[in-house]
Amino acid sequence: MEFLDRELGPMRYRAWGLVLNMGFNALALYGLSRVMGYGDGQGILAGGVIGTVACIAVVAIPYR
Amino acid sequence: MTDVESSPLGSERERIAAYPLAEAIPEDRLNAELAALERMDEKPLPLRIPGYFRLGGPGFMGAAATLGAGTLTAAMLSGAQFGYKTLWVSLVAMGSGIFMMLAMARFTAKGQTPVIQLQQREHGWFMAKVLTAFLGLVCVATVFNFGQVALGTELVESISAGLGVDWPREWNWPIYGLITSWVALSYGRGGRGVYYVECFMKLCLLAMLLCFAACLIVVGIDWGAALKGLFVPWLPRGAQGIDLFIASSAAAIGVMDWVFFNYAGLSKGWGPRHERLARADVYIGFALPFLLISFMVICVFAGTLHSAGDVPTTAIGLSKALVPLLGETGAKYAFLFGFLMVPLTTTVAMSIVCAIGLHEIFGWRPDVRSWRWKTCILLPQIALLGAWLPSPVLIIIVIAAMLSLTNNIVGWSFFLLLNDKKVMGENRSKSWGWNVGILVQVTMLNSVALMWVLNRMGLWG
Repeated sequence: MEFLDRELGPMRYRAWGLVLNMGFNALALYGLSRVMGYGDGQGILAGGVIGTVACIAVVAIPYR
Repeated sequence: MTDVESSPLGSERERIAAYPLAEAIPEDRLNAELAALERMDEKPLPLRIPGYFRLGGPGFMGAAATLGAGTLTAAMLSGAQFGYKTLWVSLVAMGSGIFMMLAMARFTAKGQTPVIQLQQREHGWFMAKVLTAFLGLVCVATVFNFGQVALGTELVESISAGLGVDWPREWNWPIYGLITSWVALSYGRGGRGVYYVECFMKLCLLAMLLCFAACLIVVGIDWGAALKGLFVPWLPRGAQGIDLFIASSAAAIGVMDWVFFNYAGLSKGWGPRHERLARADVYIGFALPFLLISFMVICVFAGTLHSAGDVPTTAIGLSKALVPLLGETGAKYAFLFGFLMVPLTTTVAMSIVCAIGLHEIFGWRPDVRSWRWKTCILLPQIALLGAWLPSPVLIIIVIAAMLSLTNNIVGWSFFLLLNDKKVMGENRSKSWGWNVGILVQVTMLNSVALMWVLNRMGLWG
């Protein structure tokens, strides 16, 4: 996972991972609001939660 | 970065240069502290704990800052509205927040540069000066001090009324301003200035603990319900529950707590050999008082105002509603006195934070004897106007919203710094679990920002 500390444009992959994580957080919260308000959106919620967990798991890998 | 561990003598000199406030501490005192630490390291953990209480400090300062009017109001409301059921939230708040505080312990001991200066070097002036120093420190310290002053002066009025003296807040504010200014201005003065202010904070935290414990003894505690509330998660249904969880768990520890720990540690002259002490200080000085005091306050309100119908929503209203329920005993004075320590310590901490933040924004060298430092430290005392005027609600809302939107970005910055080999060298994080802990808190802070946006778009709640 050395690539996490390589640059991609203005930032490192690790920083892009944090941005992506926030995108998945937004998806999860939007899905949650749909579930609570209209009873649908379970797929969006699941996608957001899975994406968030995956992002955290990858971005947390330290540079050894 | 220099490998600080390879040259202990060199690192001691670097440590003193890391933040100018430490220069006032005599070299022999720092050496004596290091010798005491080395002797402590040979003892088993239980025997080391009294030493950690004695030598720690930044953690206690952080706890005193965090346990302000806002956090205590949230704890009181939680106990009054939901009883013991949400006790577990403070465990989660501290559990998720402690990883970033441990990162601050690493930056303090091994980073050897104040974190805002690290941010500026690696992530630019906007991240360092605007998001961290201006919004996260100066704005918070100045604007949120209005709530501390309003609460402090109101409590002085209540205590004096109980003693048969009419001393309204419009007239008692000078004593509040005088005490908090004097203590804050003592920070860093002479060889023992930092030590005296830390002692003040420790004594105030002890007073809070003893006073709230006395109230809890009078009120009593339903241990079964309290243990269930601590270890079995429960939330009110719907958006209210999610709001409560995310706001209470993510907002308890933020930018001011992170940065203050770092600067308070550097002001004590902490260096590479203090890391174990710094980590212990996070647990014993910061987390323990926060958890104990939150627990006691929630339990006192759960045992009195819970199920009492409509409850007030402000700290002053809640304390006024509680006092008659404590009866004509010393408990009500204990509560008022313990509660008075809350805004007192927070105002002192906010004053110091404000001076640190302003000096970083303008690149000034901190000199506690200069008029510049004194003016900066007294800036939050503008909140003394709160003794006559209502709090500036609109400004508070705007600052709170900007904080909600930017706290997480500052969290990203510190996470990236901790994992940057160029910045931290061999002292960077090498633990996946530690990184996950920090990212869980960052994700909660992301959620606070996103919920603010979704609310404005009408997509939440």
